[in-house]
Amino acid sequence: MKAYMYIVKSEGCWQARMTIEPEVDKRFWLSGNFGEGGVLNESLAAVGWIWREAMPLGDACRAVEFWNGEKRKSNNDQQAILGMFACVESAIREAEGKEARTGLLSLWQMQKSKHVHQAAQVDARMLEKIERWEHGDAGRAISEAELGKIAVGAKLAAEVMQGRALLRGEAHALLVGAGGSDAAERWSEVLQLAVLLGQVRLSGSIAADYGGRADALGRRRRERSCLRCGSGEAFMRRTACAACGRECAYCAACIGMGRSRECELLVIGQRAGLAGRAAFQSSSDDFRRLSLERRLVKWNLSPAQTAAAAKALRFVEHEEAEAEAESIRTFLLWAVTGAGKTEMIFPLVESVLLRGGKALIATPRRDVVIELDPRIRKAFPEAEVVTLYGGSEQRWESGDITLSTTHQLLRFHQGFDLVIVDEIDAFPYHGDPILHYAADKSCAPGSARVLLSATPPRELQRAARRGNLAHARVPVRYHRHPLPVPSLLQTLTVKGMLQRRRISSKLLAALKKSLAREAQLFVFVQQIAQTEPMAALLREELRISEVAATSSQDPGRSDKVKRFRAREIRVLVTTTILERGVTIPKSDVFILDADGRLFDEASLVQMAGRAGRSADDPFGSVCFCSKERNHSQVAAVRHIRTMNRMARKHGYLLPPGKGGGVQ
Amino acid sequence: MSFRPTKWLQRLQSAFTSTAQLLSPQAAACLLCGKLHNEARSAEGLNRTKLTLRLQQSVCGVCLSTIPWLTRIVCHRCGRGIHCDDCLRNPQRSFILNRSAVHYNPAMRSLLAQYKYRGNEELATLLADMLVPAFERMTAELALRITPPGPAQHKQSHKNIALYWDAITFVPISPERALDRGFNQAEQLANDLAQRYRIPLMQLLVRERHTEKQSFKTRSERMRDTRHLFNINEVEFDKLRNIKLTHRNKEESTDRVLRVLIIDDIYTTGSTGEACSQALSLYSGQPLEIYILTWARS
Repeated sequence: MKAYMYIVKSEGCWQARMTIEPEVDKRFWLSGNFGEGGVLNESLAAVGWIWREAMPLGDACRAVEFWNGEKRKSNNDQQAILGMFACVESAIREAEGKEARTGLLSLWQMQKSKHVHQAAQVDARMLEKIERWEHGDAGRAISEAELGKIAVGAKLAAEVMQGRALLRGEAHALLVGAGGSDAAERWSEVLQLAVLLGQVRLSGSIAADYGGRADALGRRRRERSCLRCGSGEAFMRRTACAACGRECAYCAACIGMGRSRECELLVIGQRAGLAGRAAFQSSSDDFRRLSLERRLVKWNLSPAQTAAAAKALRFVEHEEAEAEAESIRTFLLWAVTGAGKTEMIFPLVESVLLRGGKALIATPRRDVVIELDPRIRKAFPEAEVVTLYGGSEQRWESGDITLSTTHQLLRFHQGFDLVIVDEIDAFPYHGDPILHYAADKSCAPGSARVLLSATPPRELQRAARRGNLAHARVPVRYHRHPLPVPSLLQTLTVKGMLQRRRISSKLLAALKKSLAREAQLFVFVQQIAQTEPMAALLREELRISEVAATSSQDPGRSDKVKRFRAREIRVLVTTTILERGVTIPKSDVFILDADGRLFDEASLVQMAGRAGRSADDPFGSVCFCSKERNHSQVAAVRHIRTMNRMARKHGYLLPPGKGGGVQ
Repeated sequence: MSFRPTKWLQRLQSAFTSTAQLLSPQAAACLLCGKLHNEARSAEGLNRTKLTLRLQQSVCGVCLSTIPWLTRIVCHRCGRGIHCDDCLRNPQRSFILNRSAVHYNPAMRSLLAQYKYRGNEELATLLADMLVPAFERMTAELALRITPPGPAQHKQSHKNIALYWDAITFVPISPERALDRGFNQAEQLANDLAQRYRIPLMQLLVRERHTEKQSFKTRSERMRDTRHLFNINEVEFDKLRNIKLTHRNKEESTDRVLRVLIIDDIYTTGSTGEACSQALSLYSGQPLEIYILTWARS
């Protein structure tokens, strides 16, 4: 879209601004009176100049940036107009791919610094391009009644936009969703007024990227980056754009979430973090005087959970007083599979809610979000819980607790005072810079971020071990029994078994043994294509019919998992899609082709973690079946043994008499 | 910063793998499914001589084989693959015929949505390439119509194909839509085709009113709404006449009719194409043959 650039002199000082609705700005600066909305501006402008012609949004923003890049501010009209020309010219030159820092801009700078008065003068030709705004001339373009509506809409917009970063279309949908049909109809005026009131920021959704160097201003002209997903030049695609009339870039990296484009509006709602909200502090002070242990009692945690939760809580509450450092503080909660991570985050969420903050729980997988939803609602019946994922109905609602897939975080900007990211090592979050950028961006300045994982990525493990990363480890499951240690079986490859139409005898015996003890069987294979044939083969060899196969491409997946849980299916052949987030009581795990490329240490530990999760049957069995023993398998076994050893050392396991410590 | 030997080893390793990749056969992410594929392997086996090289390079074999090409045409007027009631009901059409590249099945629908509504403009060339076989078949059909088959029929080259057409044009979008979407999908397809065959691309039509998206409307609404929707871009049309005149003087083209190809993304009831053709025929005042080429036929 297109926008305008103008300058106004308010309180003796010139400033430049970008607007998408100049009439609103004119009213704001020259009269400040918005009908029923009352007087919204106390420091009116004496005079202003607007560039008559609309520019591509990016260019208008750039022109303002050029203006703001100058430290000295002009004070006479002549200089201000020259400055405006210099900035607009530079922005346009830059867009055309020419050197921006020439001509008028340098002349303007010289004039300001050394009082050089020759050459540049404002002439008639220049005045044709700009229009003067003068005090008292408030414009009649918008009626009083409409001004009132706009003012009401702006308040609504500022409220609902808080902590969000939305593209134009999304912002419009949000306003519609918030029930402001008036506001939605006049969305651009409403947003523009909210900008003037300092509650919303508007810009192009892709902007110049200087690589963090101020002096590079205008030098690396073609470098752009996406403000929404953080992707750099490599993902920019330039096409002729009918909306702004020049070639402009769009971001190919986050196009699945709506197109972010150079001339597309990005609306960012400002939100004050916890530090700026003292109001709730007093009520929670009494609560905080209680000792941590006493506060944790109500959550009914195991000793290991309590220890870790207390450490995390201390970290989270470790006072924003010291958090004037605007950086985000990170805490790693490293808890084995089935440790009860969700229960451990409850006290953290409660703490931030009591202080009047907003909590976010994000995870890469949609299935996990949907599964978490009822548990969170049960734990916090009073709080407003919003669940976000692609296609969620609560898309435009906002609540105290937000449950979300990591993808949805692209639509937030410093919106949360506590951010909990679950399953940080899972696809697609792990190794996706966009999602990391989104997770960083959604944290309010100085807020705490808690990362949860059973198998943290190696960098984090190393940082934790070296003491560079605050962390707590939970080496035991909530039922205080040790993790089942996998046994290694040498078998044929899945391909081989399918070709010979025969299951290796050792594996078959193990499967039968598990069935005999009435367990539910997970059978993991590497490829989606192998799931169905393997299920057919197992049906034949085990002589039972309750064998099913599922994968990411199976539309009936959630149904099959449900039937598996209900024991209507006894054997479920699947891929890594079910490696986490699924809890089936009394289950045994068989991992075929465990030496395969797709099963790394983390993935093996996760799959092994499907066994023995319930207190009724803590001793599930886990089998790594493969032709060869490889590093991943050995490392996974070592990982599990280390956790068990640590649990025993800390005395977290049940005493042997009650079944603990048995290997 | 401390010196970490492991970091160096990692770098060395990544440097090695990236160098080794330079030697491997060209592998690129398939534009449709996103998986890496090997171009040489994707093209083997099937008869794909008609497909452009660019299409074979950018789409993997699996995806290529699932494209529902519309090769068997039942209704010779509108190019439908099945018996067509619309053309029986309204035998009077202002265009000669329509041909489409593919059936509009759910997969194609989502592909078009990716491009048109999501704005993934990288797909523009892909869609344009998919038009190529249909366009060449259509031109061959046209050649048969004009000159009955004889011994002198020679193989079509790009130049020959260009000789049959005076201009390629496209269904315009309204300025409001242009602001919103940022591009005209029909224009991008037409532009690609025009460049490939060196046929003049002309914007002969302009859209008068802004209408709701066609896809939200019923059949009768579409028919009613599209009447008088388009006007002629007179400057461009005069240019077209002049080009034709100069060509005729040079005796490059053999026939005297003005032949124009209209490009659009999708043909559903044909009302858009009919409205465009009507506007063109009304204005032209000289023999005018209008053909329509659409990417998908629903």
